[in-house]
Amino acid sequence: MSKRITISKTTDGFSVTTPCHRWKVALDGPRCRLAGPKDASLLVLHLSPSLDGDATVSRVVAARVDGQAVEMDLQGRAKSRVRLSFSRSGVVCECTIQDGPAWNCLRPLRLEGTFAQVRNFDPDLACFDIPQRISLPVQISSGLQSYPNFFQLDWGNYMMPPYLLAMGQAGRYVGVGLLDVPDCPIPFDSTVTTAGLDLKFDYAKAARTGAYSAVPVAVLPGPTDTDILRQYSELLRSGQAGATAPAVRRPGWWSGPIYTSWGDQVYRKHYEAGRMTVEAGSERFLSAGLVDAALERLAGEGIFPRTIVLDEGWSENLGDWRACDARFGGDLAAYIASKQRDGYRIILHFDPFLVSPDSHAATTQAAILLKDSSGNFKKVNRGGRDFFLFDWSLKACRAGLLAQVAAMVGTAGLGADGVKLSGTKFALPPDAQLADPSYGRAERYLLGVLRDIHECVHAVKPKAAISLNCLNPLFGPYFDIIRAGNCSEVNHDCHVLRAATACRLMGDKLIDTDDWAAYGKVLGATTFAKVVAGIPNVFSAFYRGDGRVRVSGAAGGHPMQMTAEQYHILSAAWRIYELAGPVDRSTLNVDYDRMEFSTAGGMDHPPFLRTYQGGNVLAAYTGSAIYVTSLLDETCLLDLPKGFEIASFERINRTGGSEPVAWRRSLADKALFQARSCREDTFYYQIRRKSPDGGGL
Amino acid sequence: MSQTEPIGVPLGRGRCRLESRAGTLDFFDSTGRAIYRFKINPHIEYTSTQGVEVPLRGLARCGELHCVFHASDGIVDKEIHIQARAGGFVDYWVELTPIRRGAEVQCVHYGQDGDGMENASHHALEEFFILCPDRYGSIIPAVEKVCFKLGVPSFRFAGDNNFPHEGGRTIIPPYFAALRAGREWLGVGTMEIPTSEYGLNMTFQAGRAVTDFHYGGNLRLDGRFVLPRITFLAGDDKLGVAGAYIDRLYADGLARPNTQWDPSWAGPIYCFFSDQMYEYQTDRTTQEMLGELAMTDGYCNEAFLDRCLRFLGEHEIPCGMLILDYGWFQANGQWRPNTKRFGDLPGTIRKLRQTGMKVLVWYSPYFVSEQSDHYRGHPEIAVRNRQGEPVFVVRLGGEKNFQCDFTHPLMRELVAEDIRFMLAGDGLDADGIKIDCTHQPPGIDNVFHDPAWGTGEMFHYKASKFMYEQAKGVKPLCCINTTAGNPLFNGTFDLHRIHDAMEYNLDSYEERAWAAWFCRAGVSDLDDWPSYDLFTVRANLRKIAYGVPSLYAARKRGGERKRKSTYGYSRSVRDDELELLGAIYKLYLLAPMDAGQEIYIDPFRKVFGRKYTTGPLAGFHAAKTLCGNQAVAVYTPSAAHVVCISDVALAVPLPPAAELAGVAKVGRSGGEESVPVEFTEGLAVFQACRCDGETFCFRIDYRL
Repeated sequence: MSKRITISKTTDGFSVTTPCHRWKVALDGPRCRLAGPKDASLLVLHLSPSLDGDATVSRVVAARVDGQAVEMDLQGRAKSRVRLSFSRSGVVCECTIQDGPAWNCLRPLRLEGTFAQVRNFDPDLACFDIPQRISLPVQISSGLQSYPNFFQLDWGNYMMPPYLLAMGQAGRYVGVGLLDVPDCPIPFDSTVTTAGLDLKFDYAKAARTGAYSAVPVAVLPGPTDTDILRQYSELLRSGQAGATAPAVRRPGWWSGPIYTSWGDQVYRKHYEAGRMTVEAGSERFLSAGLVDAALERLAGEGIFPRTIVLDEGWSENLGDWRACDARFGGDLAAYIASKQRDGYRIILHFDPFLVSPDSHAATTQAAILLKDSSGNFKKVNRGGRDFFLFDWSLKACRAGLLAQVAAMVGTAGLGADGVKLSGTKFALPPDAQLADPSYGRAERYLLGVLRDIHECVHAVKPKAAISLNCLNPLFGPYFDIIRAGNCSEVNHDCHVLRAATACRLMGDKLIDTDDWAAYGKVLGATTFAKVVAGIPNVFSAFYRGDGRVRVSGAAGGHPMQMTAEQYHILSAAWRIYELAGPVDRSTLNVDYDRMEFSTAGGMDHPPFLRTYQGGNVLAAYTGSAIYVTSLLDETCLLDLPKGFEIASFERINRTGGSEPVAWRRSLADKALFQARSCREDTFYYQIRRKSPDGGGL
Repeated sequence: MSQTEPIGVPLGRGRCRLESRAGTLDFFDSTGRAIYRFKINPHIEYTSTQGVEVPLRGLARCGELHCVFHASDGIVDKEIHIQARAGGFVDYWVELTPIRRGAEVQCVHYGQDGDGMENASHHALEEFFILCPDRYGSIIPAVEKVCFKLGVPSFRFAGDNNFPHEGGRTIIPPYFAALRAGREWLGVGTMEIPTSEYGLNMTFQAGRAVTDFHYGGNLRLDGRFVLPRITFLAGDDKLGVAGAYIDRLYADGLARPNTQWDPSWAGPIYCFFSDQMYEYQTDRTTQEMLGELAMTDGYCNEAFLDRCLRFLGEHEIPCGMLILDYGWFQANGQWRPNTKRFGDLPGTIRKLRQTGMKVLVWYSPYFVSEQSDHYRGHPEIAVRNRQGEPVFVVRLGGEKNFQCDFTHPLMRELVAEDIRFMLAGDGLDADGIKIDCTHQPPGIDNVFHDPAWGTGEMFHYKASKFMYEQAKGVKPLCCINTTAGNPLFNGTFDLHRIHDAMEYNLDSYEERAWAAWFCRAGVSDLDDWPSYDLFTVRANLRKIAYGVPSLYAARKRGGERKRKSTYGYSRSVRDDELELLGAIYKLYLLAPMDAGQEIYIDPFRKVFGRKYTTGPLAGFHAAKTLCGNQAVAVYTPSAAHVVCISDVALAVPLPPAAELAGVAKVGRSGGEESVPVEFTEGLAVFQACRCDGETFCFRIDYRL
């Protein structure tokens, strides 16, 4: 913590000064008032832990300064302690119940102030005016139970959201975020009004007794959502809270462009089995033939993935994680090996929870399936089909599944290079009853499963990659690559905005920018943006969906064959990605108004990637050259790095030839030229830097 | 000539030819490979009797380019025409002569079951493309029946219409589809407005396509009747064949461009409908959002309108045309002012006009509510079902509305009086009408008072034409703002509203405007409902370049998230967004939309603009987006004005031979600051900045 935080005693409590704010901690019914530079009454924290809605004000029986924190002992219905730890711009509240009656629901704090808007990070950055005369229930959870609340995911299918919410109005927000994974059914459970936010940890069906420490809650004032994300991320990285696991050193191949088979599977099913279909059943359409044809088609168009994700369908069934060899010429392991010899890395889809009723696991190992409180097997519905669930709290279940996971990556098994984790939203339905709750309740159960898989995979293959559609940094230690998830709205911005949030929360991780539902309309500016944001991924080599999901019944909508222009865009964007080399993406700068994106560093600190002209021009800056490709036939003004003298400026065409381009230096530090679209025969532009001796570098 | 002898006919730019033999039309590509086969024996379903098909009687007459076959089903004699037309088209139509008078036709199938259009080379019909507003296209599944229905009510999800307008509400699509097998595209289009439900209704199954015309028993055969003419043409790309079809509609005089234009129709338009909705959302007292009725009760009134207009004024957002939307009246079918909401609506309209605005009022002709004067006084205006019961739809949270029978003269009299009241000086004296909800005409399976007046697509055309002519009779320069799109419906409106684009992405309006532009369906009112926040600045920057911009909410905008709200949660518009919006709209007024300008829209490359066709800048831009739609420029004979939504280096094209005089940054308070500029190859190159805060716009002065 910063040494510039001072705490002094006052007549009625404490005064805390941080570089950004002044806080007053009052002892007459404990509350903490934020004194900000703009509005001294912006925010009041009420810190009396309230049990089961009991509004009795606690009495402060002792208060003291403990380092750069204030700690208060409170006496009310229960004996409790509140510790406030101050950071540069925020405060962390830790509430401990020390003794008292049994209880079901703890409300650790309440924010009071005047709030016009609420925004979340769920992953689609929703921001709305708060109704003035009613309260809104706002819940954040990794599981399906988050869906009934007001901020359900509309744009995309799913990413595990951060336990973080912001309240405020333009230029003044307060973030409220959890610093650990709670074990209550809904981890972030709040009620929002224009006058404040109430947070609760609700154990409705499981009374708590004795000592209890609530997960720390951070209160983070800031001018923008970006600032709140930064503060939240910094707090977690500072090690104050959260799960920890040894970091895996990132091998170079993790950055390789990805081909994922799922889009081709779904669209192939659409063609062969009928239009009004959901995704379920598409697993039957995965085969060596489909993947080989896809790779051949992509290669024919100058598009070269380095990693292949064999999506759902490589195994015998959901729940049976042994190879379905029949779909791969009789031997999936051999198929994987042959692909690896060709230079590809192979990642296998893995759903740790769902069990198909007709699977071997369901029919012969019922003892390891999850049950509900009545003792019946718990079912969930996915895509119109019911599935059972594994109960990972059982040692036998864990042992069996982890053995299969180990075989997926182990050289004695399939020898894959990584795992694409999926289906975490089904982990633990609300009324499920774990056989051994000590393994971890609620989302701590999910945390435990992810931890076990992570340890298992990396024990077998240390450089294996695990990808997960997760924006919650508290789960960050247990996966390697953030997958941006399915964006089911035909919105060009969606994948990229998710990536921007991801890098702000977990800048140390690579981002698989995903591609599902492989919309045709996305294959333009968003393809460029994805090259900037992270690992590009294409989910279909043959088709793109029109997004009319309501009628088609299938995610993605009605498929259209990919056009020559679309292949050209994809190949040009991926070529620029390759030419840029490894780029620092710990920060993804997003200019939402421009719809322009850039990586960390800037063009004077190459390698650097950015888009221009509303995202229609993609440029890679290396030390010796600038590579540019454009969606438009339009005049382009390209920024030049300091001291960058141009030795040659060439148009590289698709046949490999090149020709000089007429250009002129303009506005001192820009190159003006007439760009031609990569949709046709122009591949990209290559601008070589003049070396000190006058030649090209 | 025997019927088995082939007849060669040029088709599709000389690349294909037609043969007829054994009751089939075969389409060949340039290499002689058969690509499509069309069975030419039409099948008719009757309401109460069934015809007995007898085989095609064979070729009756044959000229070089026109063949006629005969067939009969015992109820009608069918004369089947195949005619090659200039431009590479082949027309197909059927003329019926009743053997027994009075037969009622349910449906005509141009091909059925094993007949229809099939791929003769055993390649599947792989893909189709239709020009409905959202550019539907899809590969065609190898198994399963797939159907699309193109016409006025084609938004319907119900039944077997697999391709309704999902991206928003209906605009009327052209009756055209392009079908692909291999690299060849075959266009199929209807060459008239039929009296059937839908203008083109195609079904694909097992490699075949059939085309149906459904009359619901409302086609009574008392004399010779000509079934709809469809045309075929071939080409190597879908837009090419679509464009050729549209061209032919104009060339044959079936579609005519709109001829009337008044500068006051250029707007910009403001309608406070969405402002009502989003104010209601944040002011509501229930968890559930109750939709239009709840918000109309609370906010469709003079006080809230005043608030909204003050808001526009305070933020300097100009409005040239105001639409008083749903709620000014007492009920659907009782088109008199709701005096609880507007104490003196004619006075309000008069006052608004004095501020320089034109005022349009909302009108919905196809249903009347149960408690309305129209229905209570004249229940016979409701369409009846086959059981004799009046047909109704339930709208807006439970309101029962009866569907109107325009074939009844009384209905038309009531509509004429409604229109007169809305427009005449002794009524509301409005400047025009926004005619809405025309995508919900009564279904053709019902009983109409006088089906000969027009049913199906023709019902809508004649009703639209009737309303248009009535309006122009009352006030010749009134503006009729309604949804069309299909060029056969030109001449029934002045502004084509591209209707609610309900997808949360910028493509929505652009694609709809593109479809209308492609069809030459008049000047587009670019609409704004449901007023998503995403559209606030970025969409409006583009809209002023390709149509009449329209704003339905200025105070708050929807954030999508439809599932738990009615139209998405709302958020207040930021001050900087309002500043940009104001600057964009003010620039628009420097060179507003005009029907004489040439619009260009490229929805694939996102290039938008319009050009002057007359005056000193003829052939040059009137408005154009720049730099990947980060800026928009409008041109006058002396200057270009540019608004940017980001800090950006700009290269602004100047008119040919223009001499650059200088570039100024124009402040919001009117102050100016010279900006360094380079002039090269007809481009003014300078560093611009986002036009909010103190910056209003950039002005590039030049001399022609």
